[in-house]
Amino acid sequence: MHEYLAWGGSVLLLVHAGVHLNAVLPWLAVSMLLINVASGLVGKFLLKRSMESLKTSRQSLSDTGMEKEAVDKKLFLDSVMVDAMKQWRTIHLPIAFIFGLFSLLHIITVFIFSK
Amino acid sequence: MRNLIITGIIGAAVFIFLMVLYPHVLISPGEMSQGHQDIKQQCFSCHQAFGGIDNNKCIACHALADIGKDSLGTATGSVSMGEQVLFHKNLDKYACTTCHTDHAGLNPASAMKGFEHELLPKTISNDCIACHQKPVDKLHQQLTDACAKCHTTKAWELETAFNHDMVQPTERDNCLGCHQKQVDKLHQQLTDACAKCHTTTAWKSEIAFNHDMVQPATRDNCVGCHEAPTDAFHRTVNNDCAKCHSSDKWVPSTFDHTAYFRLDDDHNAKCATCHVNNNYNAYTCYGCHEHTASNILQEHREEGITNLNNCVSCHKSSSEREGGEGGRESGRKGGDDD
Repeated sequence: MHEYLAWGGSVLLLVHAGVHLNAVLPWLAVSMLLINVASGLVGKFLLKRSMESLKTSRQSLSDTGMEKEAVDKKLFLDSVMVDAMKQWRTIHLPIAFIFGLFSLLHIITVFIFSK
Repeated sequence: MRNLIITGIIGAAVFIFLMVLYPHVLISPGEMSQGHQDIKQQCFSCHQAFGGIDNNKCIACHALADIGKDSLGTATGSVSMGEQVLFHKNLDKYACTTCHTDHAGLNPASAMKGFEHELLPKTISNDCIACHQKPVDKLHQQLTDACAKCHTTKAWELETAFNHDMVQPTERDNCLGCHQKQVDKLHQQLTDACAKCHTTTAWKSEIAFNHDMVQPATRDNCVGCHEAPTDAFHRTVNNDCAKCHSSDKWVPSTFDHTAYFRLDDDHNAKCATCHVNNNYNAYTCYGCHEHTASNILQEHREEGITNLNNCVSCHKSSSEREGGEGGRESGRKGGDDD
């Protein structure tokens, strides 16, 4: 649900932003939107695929009769990489927060300075 | 997580502080006009929070009774020379933002949304030259100051045809005083009596072109002005247009081939079959019929015809009833008597 709403909202915001360079704040908000979308795509596809790939590799090595320790040793670097990518959510949340902050400030300033 | 929230709150507070400190950089939608540069960091000099732009904030600096433009002249006496045209004087019931904006660049002209002449009192809006400089070209010098006869307040370009009656009578016939003479080959050899072909309502001639105006030396050189037709037939003939066409009209041609010879089904041939070497003053039938004069002579000897140079005097078409077997009488007469 969150992902579908993110897609729809991002498209609508890009249309709203259009191609005009006015105040810096709205452009910061648009930049954060794009970074947020990129971060979301990393979480949805890259992390998911990495975990599946690691799981498949581990399974196939186990099927060959390899000991668990030997498998862990062989897939050590892959495991470290996947563990690092699992921290992605820690990054994604602040990005989403900054995007929300910029958007909110933009909306408030528009109400303050427009009729 | 708690640390993250605290960091977020502090970050947001810092950013809001920066917004308040540098609003011109962070939230201004564009550069202020030159005259407002001193207040570009003070948004609330003009803006009212959640209330748009209040007229009173503008009028505090720009008093309506003082806003004007030095008069350039007067046609109706609405203003004296050198006096200001105070066109904002009675506009207090309109929002300033109806016509003005800002954040549109340094140039003050960019801050105008468009000038609404309808808002002005009639005494001012009818006195165009009080604000606008009258053009100094030759045309406008001889016209009155009744600009509205040709121009509107919406656009300078004419929306209706120019009324030539406004031009001074002494200048009215001097077309080249305002208009540039066409530089094509035709107009170069003509006099400046434009009215012989053109009217003041339309450039395209409403009367037929009088070819007598063309210099006698070039009058017969039709292709000097007209483009020679490029169809298959005209490509084969020389430029003696007058032989078939008159200067009154191009179509229909005055040439009637049937008067000489009818081009019926048996003679649906190319021109060059009969008129060799592009010479339409002569023709030959030998290209198809009997091929030589001696063969023709044999055919006609029994008829007593010896003059074989002008076949069409007896044979007007492919019909055998003309000339040949069916027309010996006329053939003999035509052939021998010629």
